[in-house]
Amino acid sequence: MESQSTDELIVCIISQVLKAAPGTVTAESSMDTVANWDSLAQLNICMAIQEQLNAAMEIDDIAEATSVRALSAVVARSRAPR
Amino acid sequence: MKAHLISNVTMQPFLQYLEPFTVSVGDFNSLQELFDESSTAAAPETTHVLCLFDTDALLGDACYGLAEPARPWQFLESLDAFCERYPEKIVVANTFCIGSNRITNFLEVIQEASLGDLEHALNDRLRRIARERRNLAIVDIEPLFRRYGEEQLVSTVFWYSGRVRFTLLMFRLLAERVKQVLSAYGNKSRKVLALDLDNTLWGGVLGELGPRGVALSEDGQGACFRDFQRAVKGLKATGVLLAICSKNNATDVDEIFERNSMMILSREDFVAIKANWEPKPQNLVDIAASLNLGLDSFVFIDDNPVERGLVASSLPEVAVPDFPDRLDALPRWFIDNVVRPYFGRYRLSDEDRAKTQQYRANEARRELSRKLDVDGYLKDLGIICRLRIDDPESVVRASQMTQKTNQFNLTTLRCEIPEIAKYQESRDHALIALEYEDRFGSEGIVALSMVDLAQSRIDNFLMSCRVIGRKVEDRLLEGVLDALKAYGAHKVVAEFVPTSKNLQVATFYDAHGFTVVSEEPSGRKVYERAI
Repeated sequence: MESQSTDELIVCIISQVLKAAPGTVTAESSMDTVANWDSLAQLNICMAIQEQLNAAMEIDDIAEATSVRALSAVVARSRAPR
Repeated sequence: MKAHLISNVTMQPFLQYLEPFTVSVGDFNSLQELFDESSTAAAPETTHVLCLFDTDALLGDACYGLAEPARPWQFLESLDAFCERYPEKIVVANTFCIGSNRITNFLEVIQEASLGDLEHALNDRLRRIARERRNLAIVDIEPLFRRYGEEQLVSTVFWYSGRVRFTLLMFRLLAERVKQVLSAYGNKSRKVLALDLDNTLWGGVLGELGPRGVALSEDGQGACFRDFQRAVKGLKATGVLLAICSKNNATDVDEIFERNSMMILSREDFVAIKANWEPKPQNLVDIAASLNLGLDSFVFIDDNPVERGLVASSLPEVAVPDFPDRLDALPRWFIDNVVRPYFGRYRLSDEDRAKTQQYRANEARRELSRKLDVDGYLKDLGIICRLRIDDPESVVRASQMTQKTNQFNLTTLRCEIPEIAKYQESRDHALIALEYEDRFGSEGIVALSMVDLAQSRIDNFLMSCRVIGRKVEDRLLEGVLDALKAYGAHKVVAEFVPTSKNLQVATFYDAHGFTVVSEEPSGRKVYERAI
């Protein structure tokens, strides 16, 4: 349940940042499948996720977490007790 | 308007917050556009250049004491040169702000030539450039760091992954400031702050608690109101007019001004006091009429949401900000939500500082005019008009006047400071300002004309409505004709461009010896007159 709702939140944030029509971004989307999800958009997406979901990003996440699933894992990791 | 952003760091995430403005952004390290004549920043269609830079990135090794801090100084020189070379562009730059990662930590406090000293010296130079180059506007980011702290405003992870220095919070705050500076620079600020009294200027209901019973003190809730009054009085000192619009007995209000020693604001601080039981929209309309100002110059503050709603719905031109929920937030709310958005000023003129006194003197003049016939009145006023031709001191005021004057304005040509400066500096143009004084006091510059001498054409002719009916416009026109004659002109061309507000001057040129040479269906008329 938790993971699913995080996916939804991330889809919502990405859609906002990319100004994408509803349905364009889904839980299966990644940088390779969405047209204007480029490296600058990735930066904007990560900044928005960090702020809105209070996620602690690492330097490599920004280059590597380029799909909804991977971003969701970043959020889950930063929420897990250390 | 076409704005272009240059920086030495990644600023793309910032652009979303500048809406509704669309802003293009330079390539990586685009500060070099400042000295590249083929750059977008230098292109003629670019009207605004946002030069938002990161100080630490500019310092590089010098941040760690490993090099001499040459680059920020070079940057300042190129910024200065750019502003000089393109006086018609408005350039917005932030202040220098060096991060707290300082290797010298304890030494920093006592060390000579420390980073703190450097920051101070750089900002000092930046301010001096802005004072000299009238097209440079500065956004001071240091107060943001003081309020929110570096932890919240600077991002380390996005810095190392993508050279983004700031957090989204900082981008939002910076965008708000940039937009405010842009509108303050065009002098599009409001003029009048109309205030409710009970639970707005003091706590409690005056009619019930009496002049000494209301909450207004140096501690507790009363201190929130007292600090709020201090801030309101401070705003007045920048040229904003204050008015009272409240439901109270006028005698109670008289009494609190006389008897409550905790009042910061005095009766003399207000240009109009409407304390009665009439609907507030009606009172605001009356105040606007008595000041000869439009309602779009007004901001109304009232703690009561019903009164706010009534004013907002019946007078949509009036700005009606929400009142804060918490009293302790009142003074800060006033600065953030009222002063900066509605009364942002980039430069002050002497006329601004004396504004309340001028409006009050106007009241005294009106009093005199009721007693005398017009010619007798004008004679009795002892009017002195002084023409200031091509005086650089008039430029700021002139720009304000072109932005704000609606009624006595023949062409309603709105001009920002760089355009006015062109008239002032060029030998083939003239900036003619008229300074007014009478036995009630000085009004400063009240009338203005911008003349293209080479084309024998009056581009702009306008006068403040404060002095309408005193034949000041005749003196200004004489000055314009004299300037044209001195330049060698034999005739003069002038124009009337109708708007919804300037119909009172529709026949101004007809009444001053000009003849119509063409007229358009829009009502725009071109006139000519021999000199």
